[in-house]
Amino acid sequence: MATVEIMRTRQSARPGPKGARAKVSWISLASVGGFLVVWQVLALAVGKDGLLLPTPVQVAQALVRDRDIILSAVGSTLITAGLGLLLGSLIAIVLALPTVLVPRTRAFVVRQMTIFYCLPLVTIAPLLYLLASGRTPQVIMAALSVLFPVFIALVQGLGAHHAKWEDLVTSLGGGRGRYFRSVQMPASTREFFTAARIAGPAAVLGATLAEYFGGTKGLGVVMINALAQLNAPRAYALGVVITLLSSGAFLLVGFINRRFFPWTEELGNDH
Amino acid sequence: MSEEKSTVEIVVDNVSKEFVVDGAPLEAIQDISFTLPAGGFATLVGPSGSGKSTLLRMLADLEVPTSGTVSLGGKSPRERVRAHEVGMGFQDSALLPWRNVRRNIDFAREVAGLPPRPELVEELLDLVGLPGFATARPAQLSGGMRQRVSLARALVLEPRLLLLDEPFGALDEFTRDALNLELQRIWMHEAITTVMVTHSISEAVFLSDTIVVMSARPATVLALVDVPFERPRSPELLTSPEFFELCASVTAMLKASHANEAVQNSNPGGR
Repeated sequence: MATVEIMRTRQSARPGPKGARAKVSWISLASVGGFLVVWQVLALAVGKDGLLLPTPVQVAQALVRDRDIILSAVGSTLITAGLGLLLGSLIAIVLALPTVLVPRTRAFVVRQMTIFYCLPLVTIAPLLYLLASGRTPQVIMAALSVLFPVFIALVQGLGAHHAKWEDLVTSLGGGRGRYFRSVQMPASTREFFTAARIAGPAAVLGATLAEYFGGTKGLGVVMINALAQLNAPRAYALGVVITLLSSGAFLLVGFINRRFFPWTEELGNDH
Repeated sequence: MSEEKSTVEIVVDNVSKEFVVDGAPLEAIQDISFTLPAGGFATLVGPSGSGKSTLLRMLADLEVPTSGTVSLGGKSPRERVRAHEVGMGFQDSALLPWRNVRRNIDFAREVAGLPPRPELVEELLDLVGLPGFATARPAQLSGGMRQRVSLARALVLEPRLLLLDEPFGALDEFTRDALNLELQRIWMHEAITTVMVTHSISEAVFLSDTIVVMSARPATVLALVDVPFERPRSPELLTSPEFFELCASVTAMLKASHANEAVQNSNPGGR
């Protein structure tokens, strides 16, 4: 199930013959295996004792050897990412609500947000460390990575016009507030989860990036130290761990969506 | 007042409706007047875009006449809707996909601010032929079943007036015939004034006590046709000569109006 889920998203991003394999999990297993073999051969060819490109085996050894260092960093990064996800979602809700309740503000707020989103996080991160210290800049970075996708999804989801359900509510004697609560809010669940699937991984990556730029704890810090010590296997091992965390966040959101809101994935929903 | 308790007479008096489309006024309905007796089943038929739905929506207070009045048993549509006395069914059923069948039916009383009536919901599920489907989601139902739920949702208010906007328009002919029989049975059971918009003449003849035949835009009433067939009407009626004859005469009225329309339009428009 897990592999299929990831493959399905890749499929939509990159259509083509590769996408057709999506449902055959043994093929995806084989392709991962093939990838590892090519990597191993390439790493041996580059040589230099794995300083530039460690072999998969070296990376696996680093994963086991450095597990204590990595695990302690994972906890810190996950807390940062979680707090960032929460903060980013809250800000997104605060910003999205006025655009929905007062549609006139929508174009303005969305434009400002889009301009803001076009600023690369890499340029913001160092500035944040000038303004705050400790975990704060990292949480803000994670929140910023989450903010835009969630905001856009909420604006679209909550702002969507459902003429027939509006008629239904009106014909039952309900007003604007009832329509918002009983139709617009639940109807935006689908868009919200689409955004949440991106937001989970984005929070992890935002947190790591912030740690990389000047944290004292977390995967990004361990990563920058590993690179400074020319410990390539550990750096790669950290890359593997970050990838796993991101896909874990992605899968968790997908699971929650399917388990508790199955209707969002059903075809034939007239929307 | 006491006989009014069960159902209402409909009086449409000099009603006109004008829309503004791209800054230009568009006359949708022109000075319509008719009376439908309490407890009857009436259909509105006419060419598409003739304002049948607009007229029905005025009965449900979803549109307001530009001039003229609509009276539902001596009260305005707004008063009737506010008192939760109008049940409405929509063309594409307008079920909420995140609610199961039972909760979709509950929705009507929720919005109306009425206490829930679980035993009535069960009764209605039986009445519309969906016992055991209370926990199914709309996406798991066929189009015909969704219309049955939609009907139950309209009836759970115990309304005095039932308004149906092409409820079976999107269904295949067999399903439609079957549902027409059911609708007749339900209507006879509930004994409630019902107005239904349809573009199927045979459906109109089969179901109605009175057919309101409407012209193309701007809509006027071409004729009120009384349908004399006894109730309950059986599927055999659909193949009887009397039935065909009445269908043919309604069709002829619509065609004649359409031909007039064409002549009128070609004269001022031609060189």
